[in-house]
Amino acid sequence: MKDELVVKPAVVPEELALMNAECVGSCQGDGCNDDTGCYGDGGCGQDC
Amino acid sequence: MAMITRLVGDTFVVNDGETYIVYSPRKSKIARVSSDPLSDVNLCQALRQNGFFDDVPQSVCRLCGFRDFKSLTLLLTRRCNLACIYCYASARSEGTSMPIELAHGAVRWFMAQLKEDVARISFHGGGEPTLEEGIIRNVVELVERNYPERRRSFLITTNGTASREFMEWMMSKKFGISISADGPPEIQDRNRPFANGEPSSPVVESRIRLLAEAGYPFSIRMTYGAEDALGGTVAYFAKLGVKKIHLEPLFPYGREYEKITFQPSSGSVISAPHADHLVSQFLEAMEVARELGIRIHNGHLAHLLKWSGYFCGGASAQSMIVTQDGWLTGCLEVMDTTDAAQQPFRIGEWHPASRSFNLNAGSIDMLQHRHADEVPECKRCFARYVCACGCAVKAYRFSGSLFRKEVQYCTFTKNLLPRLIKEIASRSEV
Repeated sequence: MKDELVVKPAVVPEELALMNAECVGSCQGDGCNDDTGCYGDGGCGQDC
Repeated sequence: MAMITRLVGDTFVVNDGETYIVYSPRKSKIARVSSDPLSDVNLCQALRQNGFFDDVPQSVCRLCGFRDFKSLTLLLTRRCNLACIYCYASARSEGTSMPIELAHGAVRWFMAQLKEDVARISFHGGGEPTLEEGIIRNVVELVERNYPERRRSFLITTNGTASREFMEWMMSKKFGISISADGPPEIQDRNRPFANGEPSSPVVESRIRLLAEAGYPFSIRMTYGAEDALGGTVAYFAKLGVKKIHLEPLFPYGREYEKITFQPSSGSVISAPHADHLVSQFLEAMEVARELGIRIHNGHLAHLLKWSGYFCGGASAQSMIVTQDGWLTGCLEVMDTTDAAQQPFRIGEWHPASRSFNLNAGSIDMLQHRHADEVPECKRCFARYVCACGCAVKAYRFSGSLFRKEVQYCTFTKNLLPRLIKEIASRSEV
């Protein structure tokens, strides 16, 4: 008999700053300090 | 043993011993199953019904032609007061700066074409931007005076040696501030001394403390070598009150790096880490960051949750990056006409007579082809929407082609990503 499929919300390590906006910037970082984890170059234009 | 990882639609499938981790970053869902879902039709169907294996998001699609620039970056000067031993830009204590007429022209042209709600204007290096404090103040004043109705965001990447007064002025203007600094004095002063040889750590530490003690949000942009214990460096910054660190390894592909190889055998005091070392250093940094309650960032992992087909906005012609001598570059690291990489990254020029920029459609098209679905070495890789083929200029300097990849960092990403997904599974209790 197959195990029941258990799907859970993914818990991403909080020590990792990851982009939450669909941003295209990830090169040198321009100091974007909005609390999205985005340090990109602002190329996305997202209101983040 | 290497963990076999596949990408199916918007879902990673990671083979972990006798089981398989199924993870959709887009849906923020994760499961662990006992058989290969790609060989078990019923399991695959059940996972689909739970939201896995959906299509990749529209946002990763390739761009076709120039639309508009979404942000403006001014590379103000080739002059720098530091003499970093690995400077990618070969900045010097003497160098040319952007004429104020060009800075004004760039702002006006950018604002006229901007479709976004927020005007994002950055001041960046290739030299130290705060040495042109007057231009920065002038540009901010121009934007505040001429575009009072526009929401705006000013940002700067600086070496952290500006005066306290200027730092406080930037704080008053709510600048996003990123300070390039490499760690405790023995590392900072080795890597990033003043141009006259004096240590820079006292003043840089002082500016970091200024920001931290004011509770001002800022980040550190640090470069590390193979010799550096990353955990100790993260702990040092945490002790100063830093909350966010953007860490990137030393890449041996700067403009003068044919003279300074940064290989372990070269006798240099600092060398570029190899892929396995990169992974262990990063995991060490994560562990320390977790213990100390701070966050770390890395360019190759940044898109883990929100995928992208392009590594950065510059090399996809979405960021308008203006060099001090008046051309538009697709890369922050390619900033004057003496750079051998100028040709593929030069996407336009300032035309003083018409006070406008002429765009080079051929170069823009070429850069936009460097997409995760098109680079031959990357287009079937499971990590392609996370690292998005990696940094274009580093690939170009490494291989001579835009359509290749940089090997060490690619290996780092492909080794680290399955381990991160396994860690996510562990913290998600699956």
